[in-house]
Amino acid sequence: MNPLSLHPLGTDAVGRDVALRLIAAAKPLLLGGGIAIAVAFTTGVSLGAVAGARGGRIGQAIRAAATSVAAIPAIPLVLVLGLEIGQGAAPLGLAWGLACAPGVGMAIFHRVDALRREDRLLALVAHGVPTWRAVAVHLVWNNARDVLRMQAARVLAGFLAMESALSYLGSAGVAEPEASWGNMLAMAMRSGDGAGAASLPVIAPVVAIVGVSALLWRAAQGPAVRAVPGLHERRAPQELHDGDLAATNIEVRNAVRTADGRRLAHLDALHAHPGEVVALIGPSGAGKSLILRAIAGIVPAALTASGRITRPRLAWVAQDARASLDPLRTVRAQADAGPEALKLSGFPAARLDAFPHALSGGEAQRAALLVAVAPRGAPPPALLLADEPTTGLDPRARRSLTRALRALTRSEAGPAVLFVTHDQRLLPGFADRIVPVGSSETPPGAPAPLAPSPRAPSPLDLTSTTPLLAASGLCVWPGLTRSPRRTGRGAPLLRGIDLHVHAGETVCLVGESGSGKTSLLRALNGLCASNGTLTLLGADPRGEPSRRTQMLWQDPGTSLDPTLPLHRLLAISERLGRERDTVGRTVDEALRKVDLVHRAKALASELSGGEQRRASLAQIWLTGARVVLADEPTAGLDAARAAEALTLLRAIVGAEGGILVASHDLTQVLPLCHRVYVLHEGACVDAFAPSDAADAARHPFTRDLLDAG
Amino acid sequence: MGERVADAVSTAAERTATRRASWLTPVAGGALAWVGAVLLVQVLVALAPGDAVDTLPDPALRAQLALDWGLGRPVWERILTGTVHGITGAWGSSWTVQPGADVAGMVGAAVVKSAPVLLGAWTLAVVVGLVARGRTALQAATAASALPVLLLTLGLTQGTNAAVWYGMQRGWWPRPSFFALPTEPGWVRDAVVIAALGIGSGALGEVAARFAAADAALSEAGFVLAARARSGSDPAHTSSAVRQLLWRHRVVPLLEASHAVFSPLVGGLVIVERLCARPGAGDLLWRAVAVRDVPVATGVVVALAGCTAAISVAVELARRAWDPRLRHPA
Repeated sequence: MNPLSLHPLGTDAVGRDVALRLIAAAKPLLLGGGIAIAVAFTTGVSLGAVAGARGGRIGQAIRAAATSVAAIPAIPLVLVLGLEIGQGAAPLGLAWGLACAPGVGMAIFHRVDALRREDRLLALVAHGVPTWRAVAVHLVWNNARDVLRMQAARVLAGFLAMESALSYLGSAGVAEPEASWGNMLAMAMRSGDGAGAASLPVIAPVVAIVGVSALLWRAAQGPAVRAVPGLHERRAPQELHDGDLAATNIEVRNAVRTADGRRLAHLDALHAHPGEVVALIGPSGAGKSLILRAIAGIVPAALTASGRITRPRLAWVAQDARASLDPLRTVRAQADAGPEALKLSGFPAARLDAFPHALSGGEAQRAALLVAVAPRGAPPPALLLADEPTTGLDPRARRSLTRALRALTRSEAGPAVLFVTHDQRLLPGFADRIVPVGSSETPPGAPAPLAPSPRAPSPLDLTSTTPLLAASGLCVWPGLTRSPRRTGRGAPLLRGIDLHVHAGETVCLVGESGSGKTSLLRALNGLCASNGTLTLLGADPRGEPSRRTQMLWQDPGTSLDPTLPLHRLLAISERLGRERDTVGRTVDEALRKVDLVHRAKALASELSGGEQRRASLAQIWLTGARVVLADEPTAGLDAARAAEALTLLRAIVGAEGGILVASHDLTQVLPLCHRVYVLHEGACVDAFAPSDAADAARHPFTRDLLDAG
Repeated sequence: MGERVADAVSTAAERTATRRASWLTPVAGGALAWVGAVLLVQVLVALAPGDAVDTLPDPALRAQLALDWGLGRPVWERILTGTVHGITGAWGSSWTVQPGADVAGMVGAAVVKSAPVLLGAWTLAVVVGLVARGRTALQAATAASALPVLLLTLGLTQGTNAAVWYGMQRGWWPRPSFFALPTEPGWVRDAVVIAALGIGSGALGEVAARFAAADAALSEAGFVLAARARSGSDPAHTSSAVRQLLWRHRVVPLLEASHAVFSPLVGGLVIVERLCARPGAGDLLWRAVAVRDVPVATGVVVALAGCTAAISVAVELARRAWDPRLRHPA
């Protein structure tokens, strides 16, 4: 008989079959690796999820304990644990699992904590999902599965490497006669087999570890990492010819396309002359911002732009002004802040040494404008690109910014301004020309195509009805809580709030950014600490959020688990609705109601902003809510679309439901509601019906808001 | 006027207190983490089945050590005493590795010997991780980092030996001083140790992945887009303006990576020092565990935990010094 058939890989120094021992050596690896993963995940995932979901002192205590264990490097900890629990694959696996548990726990903590900070946990709990299920299923399993995969691969790969090394070195690893790739390699090296018998035990762990690491690499590749080329590379394709720097006119013939050639945005021609404000308008999704980015040469990597662009010196003002400033440098370090630039931008000279994060919203807008018009180390721009810079600003700040831009263009050698907006109210008196995206240019001097005025709701007779929601003398503290405590720490954010919402009413809360509108909405649903009288559907919601109240979040994606398809998300809401005796409402019906039947199988993360908002409304309808607390549902919408949004919300809640809407824009919501409450400096300063606005609005702040509109 | 002055003084005092608190918090956190680690080590030692002292051959020494270590006292008392001794540096004397020698001195000397290797491996990982830009380079760095330190060390030593032997056979060079790695000391052995540790411990892959993630986040940051737009059509200006921004924003990922790779580096140090018979903290720990010299083993682990905590504090302080959002919270 051919000896090779008996020992295909030969024998070791003491005559044992290498092939069989190679196979046998996988056993301690799988056993120990399995134990390590089980131990690390049992302790790490549970503690990390609790710390991330709870936050506060419990979270801090768990993190402190994890930091203490993590302070001891893993292999030394395994060696010391080995003194206690002995040698072999199982004890090694146990020790490695304990050593890796803090790393697993911290990875889960960071993900869950980030999701909690985005209010996803709160949104799920407010929607009615039990807390344990929201954390375990939605936050950990659905949204942290990539972290779990990566940590499992990391623990396993680490165990393979550690076990092989310790077994090779002897004493602390798997000892002879039990087979291990490490001790097989050690024996082969000692016996001088060299490239023969030694090579296979070398190859085996390498293949295993590289394989596990490949899994780790695949798991670690988020979409962001996959899509990012080197930052030094220009992402606009080369057919966008760089133009003459001295030119002050621009001409764009441009189309932005996806990789498969689908056209996303198109503009036939665009000219801007020095000192001119050109407004780029169009419906959401028309590609206004994409065209602006194509002009700037910063089209996202997944897209391509084509056409001819003559590109002068540019400046860019983003929608989020603070994000467009370098957070690590003061405003002075970023701008060449001469007196003229300061005057034009309106930025106070006393705040030049402030860092961006310390600026207020209005100051940040002015700082962004200052950096745009007078950048340090670069010439002043010939063209200023402004991408919806007024979104999210209250009317006073909006008016102030448009005036500053107008003044800038009229200054000596003032740049042209290309201004993207959805708010057509801004345009009269501000824009010289209006260019609708997707059609030919409006002739100079043509009137702005303003949206039709929305229809005001009919007045209601409320004399004999009990309010669905009533608050009296309510004080609200910032920060979120699900505990039934009624007061928070320090001074309250809001004091003495009195408001009520009756069946069939749409009531608006209006105030500047940071005035406490969102906190009040949450307090009304028992999610913020508050004291005073509060009745929601006949009960006090504090301690137990009302079962028939739903929140519509400012970011509609907050309440949607991005990893689930829409029909499954709605099935969860349908089940919650059934638990609340809302019989007969089905997912299909909900999809039809919000016109999303064609998107039923799309992941929540694949829906556009408008679709996400409609999906949230479908969720609300399925739960049979009678009161909806909507946080800025009209932000970023023009007047006509805002009216549409509230009409759809009314259709969802029904004629007998109550709607409380928070907004920063009084003039936008005034025609859409039955009553307005104005928040300012921690108190409700005015309450009036829209028809009485001119007479009943007494506070200077309210009058200012009305005038600014 | 007086009230205004008083307000100004009180505001300045509050700012100073806030600033001090922002520096004290990481220091206190690091100290707490180290104390927790020392406590954990003492708990493990106290809960060990049987007493390591019983394995010593000399009865007189056994009795003396049992007395010194208070082995007759309750467990909680031994844990507390051990923790206090661990924190104060009273680590006793070695049982078996170097009987009678002061553990603190032995551990200190070993850590000092290991420091250049750790520093070299860290530098290698950070420099290569920084240079590994782009998808292919990142994949290469990750793949290299997936190789275990054991195989990388063996491969490097055996490969070097084979190359030297081949040259000697051909008469290209005489027998060099570093021949017969890994046991022959010298700069070649140190280079092998540093390379194997920097790559095989996973530090390289960790650094490269962190920089890639930081770049991904930066690429969509508004201020980077604004800088790219501002730089217009001048490619030279694009490079310098955006590159300046990027380097400033890569400091924090660099600091975080420095902290994250320390633990794998120390783990790899035990293996690579043992394989190459290079004296240092890892080698000392291995020898102590092999002969159940509990004072030395716990001393090395406590010292390494102290180094980890110190690096964590230093990184956190450096982050606060660099990032104004942490230095001056809004």
